[in-house]
Amino acid sequence: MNKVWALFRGDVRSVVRCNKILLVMIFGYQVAYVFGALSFLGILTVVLGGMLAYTSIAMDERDGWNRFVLTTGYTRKEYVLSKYLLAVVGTIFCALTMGVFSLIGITVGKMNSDNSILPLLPVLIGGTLIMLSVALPLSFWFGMEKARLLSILIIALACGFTGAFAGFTEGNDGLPFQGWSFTGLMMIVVSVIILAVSVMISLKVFDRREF
Amino acid sequence: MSDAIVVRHMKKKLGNFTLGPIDLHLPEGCVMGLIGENGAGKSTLISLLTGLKHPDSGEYTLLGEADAGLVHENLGIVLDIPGFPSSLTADEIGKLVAPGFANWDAELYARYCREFALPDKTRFGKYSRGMKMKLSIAVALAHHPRLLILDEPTGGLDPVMRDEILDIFYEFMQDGSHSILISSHILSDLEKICDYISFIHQGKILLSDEKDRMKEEYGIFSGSKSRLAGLGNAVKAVRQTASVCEALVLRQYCPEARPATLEELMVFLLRFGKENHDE
Amino acid sequence: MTIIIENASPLPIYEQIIQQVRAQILSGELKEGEMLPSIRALAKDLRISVITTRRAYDELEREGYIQTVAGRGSFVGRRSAELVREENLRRIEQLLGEALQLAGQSGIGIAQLEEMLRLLAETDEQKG
Repeated sequence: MNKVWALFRGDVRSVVRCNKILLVMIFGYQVAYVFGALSFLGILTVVLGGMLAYTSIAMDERDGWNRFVLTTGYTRKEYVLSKYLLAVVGTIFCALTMGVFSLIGITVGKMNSDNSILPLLPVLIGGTLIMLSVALPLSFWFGMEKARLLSILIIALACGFTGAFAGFTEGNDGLPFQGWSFTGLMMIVVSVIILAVSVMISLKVFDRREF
Repeated sequence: MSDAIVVRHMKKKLGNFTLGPIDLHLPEGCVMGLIGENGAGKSTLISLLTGLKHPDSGEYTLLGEADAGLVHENLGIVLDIPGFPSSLTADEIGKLVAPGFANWDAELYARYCREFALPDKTRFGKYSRGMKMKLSIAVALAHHPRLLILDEPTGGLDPVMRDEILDIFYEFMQDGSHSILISSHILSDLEKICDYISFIHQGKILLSDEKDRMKEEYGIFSGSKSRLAGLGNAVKAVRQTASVCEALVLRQYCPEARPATLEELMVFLLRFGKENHDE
Repeated sequence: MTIIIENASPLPIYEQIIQQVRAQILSGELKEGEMLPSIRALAKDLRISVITTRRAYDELEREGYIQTVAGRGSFVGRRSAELVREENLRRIEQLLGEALQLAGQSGIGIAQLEEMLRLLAETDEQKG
C-alpha cells in the first residue's frame, strides 16, 4: 500500500503540474455554477476531477513511464491501484470543493439552499465512479496511444453522463430526488461495487498487457 | 560459476515477426553484447527478459530465477526509451523510484546525478537525449544491482560521454558477481568491454561466442577471386565490387586474412552472409 | 606495469599481454613478489575483455612467471625470473648441443657456426 501511495503522490505532482489550466478551469466552473451558471458546468467539474486519473494514464504512456515502472519493484497491480486511487480521490476532491463553494454561495446568498447541488453530490460521485469503472479498464487494455477513438469515446461518455444528469436535474426543477436520501446512498453503494469489479477487471487486463 | 542469464528455446511471435527460438547463456561475471540491425529483435528479446512481454514458448532464468519480478531488486534496467514522468525533476524521480527498490541508495543516486551534471531544477521532459540516458543509467545503478540489462544505453551520447559511461560499466564489473547484457549499435564500445557477443538477425541468433574467440576465428580476406574460390566453405560472406574482393573467412584456412573488427563481422555476416541470401 | 595493446596487430591481445609481461619480468622491470593488477582491473585499464586478461594470466602462471593466490591476486613469482632464465639456459644448451651434433655430421666447423650465429643475431636485431 505504501508503494501505491508513492505512485499516487508522484501522479498527483505530475498531473497538477501539467494540468494547471484544467484545474483553474474546474474551479472556475464551480464558482461560475455557484453564481448561477448552467448546472452542466458544475456537474462536469466532478467528472473532470475523476478523469484526472485517465489523464495520468495518458501522460504515463506518452512518457514511457507506464512501461519503465514495470521494470522496477512496482508491480502491475500497484500501478493499477494507484490510478484507481487517483480516480476516487480526484472525484471526491472536486465534489468537496463543489460542496464548499456551494456552501459559501448559500451563505452569501447567491444560491438558494433549495436548489443547491449539495444534496446531489453523493449521486454525482456515484455516477462518476461508475463512468470511470467503464473507462479505466478500457484504458488499461487498449492504452491511450493505440486508441484515439477510445479517448473520444470516454470524453463522449463523460459529457453524455454529465449532460443527462444536468438535464435531469434541471428538467425536474432542480431536485428529482434528495441526494442524501436512500437513493443517494444506494448510488454510492452500487458505484463502489461496480468500481470493485472494475478494479478486478483492470488488474486482470493489465497483467496480460504487453509492452 | 552460476549463470546470470539463461534463455532456452524462447519464442515470441509479433505480427509478421517471429523472435526465436532463442538460446542464450551469459555466465556470471561477464559482459555480453547483443548486436543486430534495427528490427532484428534486440529490444523484443530485452522486453521478454524484463517481463514487459510474455514468451509464447520456451523459458529463461535471470540470476537463477524464472521471473523477472522475483529478481527486480538485483536488476538494473535501461530501456531504449528512457521512460520517466516528464514533469518531474531528477530529485523527484529519485524519490518516486525509491520505494520500488529495497536497496535504493539515495546518496549514490545523488552522486551519479552530480557526476553526470544533471541539472537540479530542470524537468525530465526538457532533458536532452543524452541527459535522459544518463539519468536512466543513474537510476539503474543506484540500487546496487547484480545484473544490468541495457538497451542502447549510449545512444545519443557523444564520444566523451560514452567513454565516461564505459568507465562506469567497467567499474561495475570490478565485482566478479556482476554481469551485463548490453545491446548496442556502437560497436566500438562493445569491442572493448564485452566478453561475449551475440549476433541477432531477423529474430535468430546467428552467432554467439566469446568475443576473443570470434576475432581469432574470423578474418577479412582481400585478394583475388581465384584464391577466394579456393577457400570453399571457409568463406562466410563476400563483398564484391568491380575493384574489390573482400570476404569474411575462417582464419584457420586463410592465414593471410587479417583479424576482423566487430563492425566488419556484423556487416559481413548480416549483409553479405551466405546464409542470408533470401533477402 | 605498463602494457600497450595494438589492435591492428595480428597477434591476439592475450598473446601481446603475455609477451610484454614476460619481457618485463625477465628484464627486471617487474620485480619478484610484485603484485600485478587483478584481471578485472587490468581489463578495465586496457579496455578489453576480462576473459582475455584471465587467459593471459593463466598462461603466464602455467609458464611459471606468475602465481595467483585466491583472494589476494597475482604476483610475479618468487625467483620465477631466475627459474625461467635457468630453464631457458638449459634449453639453449640443449639446442646448441643439437646444433653442434648436426654440424659435426656435416663437417661444419666451430668457426662457421660462430659466423652463422653472428649473422642470425644481426638479422634478428634488424627485425627489431
